[in-house]
Amino acid sequence: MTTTPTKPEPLPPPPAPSTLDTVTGAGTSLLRSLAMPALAFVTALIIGAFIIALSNVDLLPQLFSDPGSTLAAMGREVWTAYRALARGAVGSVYAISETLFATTPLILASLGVAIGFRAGLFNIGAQGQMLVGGMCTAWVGIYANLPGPLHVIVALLAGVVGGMVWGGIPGLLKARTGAHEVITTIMFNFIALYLVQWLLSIPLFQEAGRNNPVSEPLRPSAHLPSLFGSSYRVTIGILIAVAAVFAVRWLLFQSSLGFEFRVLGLNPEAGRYAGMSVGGLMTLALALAGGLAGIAGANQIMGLAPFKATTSLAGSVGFDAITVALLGRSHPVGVLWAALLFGALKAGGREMQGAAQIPLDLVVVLQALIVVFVAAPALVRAIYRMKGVAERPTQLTKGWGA
Amino acid sequence: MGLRFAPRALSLDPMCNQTVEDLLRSRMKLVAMAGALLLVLAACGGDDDDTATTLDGGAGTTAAPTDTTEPMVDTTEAMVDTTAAAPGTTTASGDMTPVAACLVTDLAGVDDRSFNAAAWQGVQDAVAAGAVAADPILLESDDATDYQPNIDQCLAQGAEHIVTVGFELGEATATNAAANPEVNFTIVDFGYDPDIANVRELVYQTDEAAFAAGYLAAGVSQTGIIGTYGGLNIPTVSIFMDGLARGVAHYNETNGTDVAVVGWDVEAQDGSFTGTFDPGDPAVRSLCESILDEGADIMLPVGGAINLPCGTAIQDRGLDAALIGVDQDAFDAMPTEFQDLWLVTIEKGIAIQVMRSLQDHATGAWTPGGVVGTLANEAVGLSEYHAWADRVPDDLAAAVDQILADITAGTIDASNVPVG
Repeated sequence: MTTTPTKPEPLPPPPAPSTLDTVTGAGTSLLRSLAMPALAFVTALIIGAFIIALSNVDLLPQLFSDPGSTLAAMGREVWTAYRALARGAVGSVYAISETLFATTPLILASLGVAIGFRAGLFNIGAQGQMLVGGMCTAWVGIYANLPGPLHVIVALLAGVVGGMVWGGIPGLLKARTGAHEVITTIMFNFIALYLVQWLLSIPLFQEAGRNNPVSEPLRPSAHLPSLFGSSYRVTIGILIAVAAVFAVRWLLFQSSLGFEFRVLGLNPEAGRYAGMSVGGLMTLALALAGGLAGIAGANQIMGLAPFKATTSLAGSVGFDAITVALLGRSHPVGVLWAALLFGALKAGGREMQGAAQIPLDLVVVLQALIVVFVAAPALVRAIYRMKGVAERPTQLTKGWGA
Repeated sequence: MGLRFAPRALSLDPMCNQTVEDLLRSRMKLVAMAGALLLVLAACGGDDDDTATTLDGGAGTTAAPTDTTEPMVDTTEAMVDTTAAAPGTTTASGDMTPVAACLVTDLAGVDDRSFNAAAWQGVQDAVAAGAVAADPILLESDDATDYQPNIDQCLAQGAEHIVTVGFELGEATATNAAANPEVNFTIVDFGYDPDIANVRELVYQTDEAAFAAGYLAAGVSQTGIIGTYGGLNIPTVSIFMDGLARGVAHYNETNGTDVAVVGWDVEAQDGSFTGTFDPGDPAVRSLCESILDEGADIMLPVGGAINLPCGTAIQDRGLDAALIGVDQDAFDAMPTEFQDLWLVTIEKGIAIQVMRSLQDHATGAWTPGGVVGTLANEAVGLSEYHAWADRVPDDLAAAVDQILADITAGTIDASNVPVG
């Protein structure tokens, strides 16, 4: 993570408010920053095509006896699969709704992870923060008797508060005792899981007549309004998520707090020398990260029938968020695109599974391959023989020794 | 919504574990990035068109509960013959119009070696029997937000019959069944009250087989003490324990012995429960050990893999004791290091009931409502004795077979044999 620019920036410096922006990569040209993920995506699709072709057990034995028609059949299969993937992701209003639906919590949770990365903190706790935020939302959504819009706002804020507390505690532990946030946030995921499991089994939350951990449904006034009408699942949650993207961009690159976060990420000693409260910043960064994940958790209850909290409300979003944040290079706008890509893969993967009978696992593999290539830019550069414009360093996190 | 949450023995255990497994599995995705290619080959190679073979070999979910090693085609034929006798079915054979079928798993996925695998096996068997059109659709649910779109996807692909697996899909199934009255649904391990006009619910009278297992256990026990414990005191778990206790009582009655059951009181309907279906929970092993301490040498732990810590305890202590498996033939389904321990498994035939539901649809004999799996319709049964075959005396084996036959014929009412 400590590569230094070997060549001077060939483009004129963008009109950034602070010179540090050029150092953190916030101001690098959009085209260049998109090129690498795009090439990674294309490369992953190409490898995926080989996988689809070779995974057809029926065709393999004929490959050598009748290569022509076998290859044609394999090509058709790849075409069917990718066409289904595209159709399921963007091919209809329903598909777009599903893509946006899957994207919403990913954006929110990934923004939280990205703030952590910028501040040099590896936040693996989005999962737990979603769960705790979601439970706070459920509590308000079930018990508060408020008119529609107010109820939605209060329930979302409850999610924020729950997530902030759950994110802030590991931050405080790190600030006060030096406990590494990788360890504590992972452990807090488990604490959150079993806490939620317990909460969902006491009468306060558990739905009457149920033995398994499921909450009462939220009051209708706490449901997120749907965006394209009730037959589509996407809600105004996506608008909240996009608003959060711009809020976080402002926070990180235009506010003095964001500046301090980035200094903390790049060089905490310098920050301390400049009079910043390093411990306070760590706590705040993780609390904000938790708050964003908390909204993601709230969204999974308020925006999804049957509007009940369960122990699986976070799904795998909290962990996918790490991948998305990495793919988005910890930049809010990058996170937006990366989350859209993952949301599209999720929605499209379903169609691929249904129409082309390609296992959903392939989508996970595509995601993994994309990340491998994004994480190894040298590899992509080598594949495409790109002339070595050195990447500007993007601070992700300090290592274990931080 | 008036949902009745009775059948849960199978559905609960993965559910509780899933939350943890899900966390772990998701984290695996990060790990997988390193070895993406390997993962691909494994995942795709197994899951593609080749699923039937994979499941047949791996899961031991073959339908006929009494003989799981039989080749698939044979059991399929056997099942066609027995269809006529099954409740909720009227005719077998005859004209079948292959149905476009689609199966939605719960979070455990199709390779769970448990009820998802078994249900998919049932769909495959139905294809082999000509009841389901080629290339049925399989949709795995990655998280709870997938249930609805997976069912949507089934409908979009023109499915005429949708099989939903497990308790967690109960609500999504009910909603979609109401919205799509022209499509038939079969749900595994879930009951509705009242029934829904286009949903068949698969539930199981497992105490019939548990009764015979209790008789068998009493016959082979050297200490004269049979132990049992469950995950939670819910009907689909306790029905196994009830059957076991009544079977032991029947053995005592028949043979003038005094074999005791520790861990379940039929009168009080209460007993020993771990409170969890997570085999990693230390409470599971300590509960097993406390029952072993009371002298039990045959144990029936009810609930997914909560029998494994007990197996480890038996091995660590070097006891000459045995376990009774549940749901799927444990000899095949569970890790091989425990193979010596399985006396027998009380099997729940999910594949066969799924297959029958599809077959009934194909023949036009399909009816909605709860369908109870029993010994008589071969949806419940005992496995082979495997490693214990040499230690079960012939006359005892014959007596157990006779009991199974008597229950099937209705001369023994396993659910009402008195105890004590």
